[in-house]
Amino acid sequence: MKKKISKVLIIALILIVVLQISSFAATDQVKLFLSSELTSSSYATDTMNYAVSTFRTLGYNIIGSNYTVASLKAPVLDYINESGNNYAFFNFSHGASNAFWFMSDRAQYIFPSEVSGNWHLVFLNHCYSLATNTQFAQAFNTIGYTNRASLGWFDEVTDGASAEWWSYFKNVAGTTNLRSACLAAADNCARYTPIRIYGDTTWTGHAW
Amino acid sequence: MNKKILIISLCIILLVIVGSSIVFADFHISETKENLALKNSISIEESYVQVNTRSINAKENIQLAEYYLTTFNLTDKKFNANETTIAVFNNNLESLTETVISNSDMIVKLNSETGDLISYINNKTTFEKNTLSKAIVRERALEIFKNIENEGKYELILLEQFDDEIYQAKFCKKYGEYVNPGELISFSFAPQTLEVVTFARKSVPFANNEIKISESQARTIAEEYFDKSSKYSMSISLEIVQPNAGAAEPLENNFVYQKATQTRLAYVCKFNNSSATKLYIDSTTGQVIGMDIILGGAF
Repeated sequence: MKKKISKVLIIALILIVVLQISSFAATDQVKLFLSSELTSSSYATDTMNYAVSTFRTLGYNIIGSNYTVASLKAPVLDYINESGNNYAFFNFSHGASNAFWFMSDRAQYIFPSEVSGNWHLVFLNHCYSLATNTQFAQAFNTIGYTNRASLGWFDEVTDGASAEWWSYFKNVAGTTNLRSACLAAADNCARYTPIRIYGDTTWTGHAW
Repeated sequence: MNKKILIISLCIILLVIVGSSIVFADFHISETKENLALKNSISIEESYVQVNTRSINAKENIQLAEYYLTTFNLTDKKFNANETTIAVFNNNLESLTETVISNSDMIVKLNSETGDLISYINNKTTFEKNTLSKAIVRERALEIFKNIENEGKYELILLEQFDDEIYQAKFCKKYGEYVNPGELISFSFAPQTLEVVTFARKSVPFANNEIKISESQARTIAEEYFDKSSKYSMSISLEIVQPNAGAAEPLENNFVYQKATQTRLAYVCKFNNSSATKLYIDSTTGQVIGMDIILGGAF
């Protein structure tokens, strides 16, 4: 009798552990960073809130409380280069095609050469992030694989345009392929929203 | 003895449940619902809310969607009633109610009140690569546009290559020498086959407000808005703009600003500073009705 009870309890235990892990452990994690230089922009906070909501809709586990305000590159690079389930990344900052930064000090610039890992979904929300070259998309390793993509801007973009685009992208993300979702959001914008995507454009963007 | 084992085992199970929940649960900080009275702001959850569709006439909506798809020549695909999903959303950001009709091929959004087509998305993932010159692509964009609108009051304001398969085109309604970015017809398409990938039509009306303040008054207002000591040069032009929250205070977590329901004529003051700040000053009232900054920087 004792043996029987023990067996049943062990099976129950295993079942519970397995169920708990599958219910709570999301495969993909995301951390969203906002530049401390842009916290006074209402569009910055609007964009961050839309982006947080979108990543949640797509099934990503958000690290921290919604988004993280950053000034220095170290905590951002810590997240980027740490092993684990960090498969999605978002920044809202100033930048260019070859670097982005959370404070205007050249020592704090983040370059493609400092990025490593095999990322799933990356959104680089700064001017020219995916302009004439694909250095960042290559650095995040999203080109040439299924279910991986880097999204960003081909040209100069304003904080208002970013918020406007995200307000529409939030409602279509996950309902169609990433390319159509990006284009649909851009269609609705009164401002110039030069969105680009490098990687698997047929993917919906859902966490996996 | 059996009872003891049972109690200990139950305690272990409880501990495992609580422990694993703590380890794996994604804790979200509960948002305080204070400050809800912030003008023109709304929580993300309230911005786009699905509503009950019990009373909706599916057949009527499918017919209406197909009317637009055929008339505008957007696709020759059809909605099969058995494989079609219909949902209704309150778009509280834009003060609209949207009926979303979808199947595996496409998504169509209609204005639930007026029946107007809001948007179309083709779920197809690959198209023929474009080999045509930009001049021919432009002609093809105009050809698609003529199927949608023949009023002649719209102007092509953007034609841009997205990738090697797709171009984007954007048309805005003209009011004399000004274009209203709120009334736009926008689509992306595969020029090679004339297939429409995405389409959207927006109808934010122009208030047609008068010009009551002069350019020099607008310049003074813009200079006073910022620190007078910062002597950045500025260029100034009259444009129709959608008033926005760019000059408003940032909102707390989870809240966003609602969108203006009409556009207005404004002086757009472009500062020659590092953020290329644009300040919108209403041409009638002289009020600051919006602001934008770029997300670039010197590199």
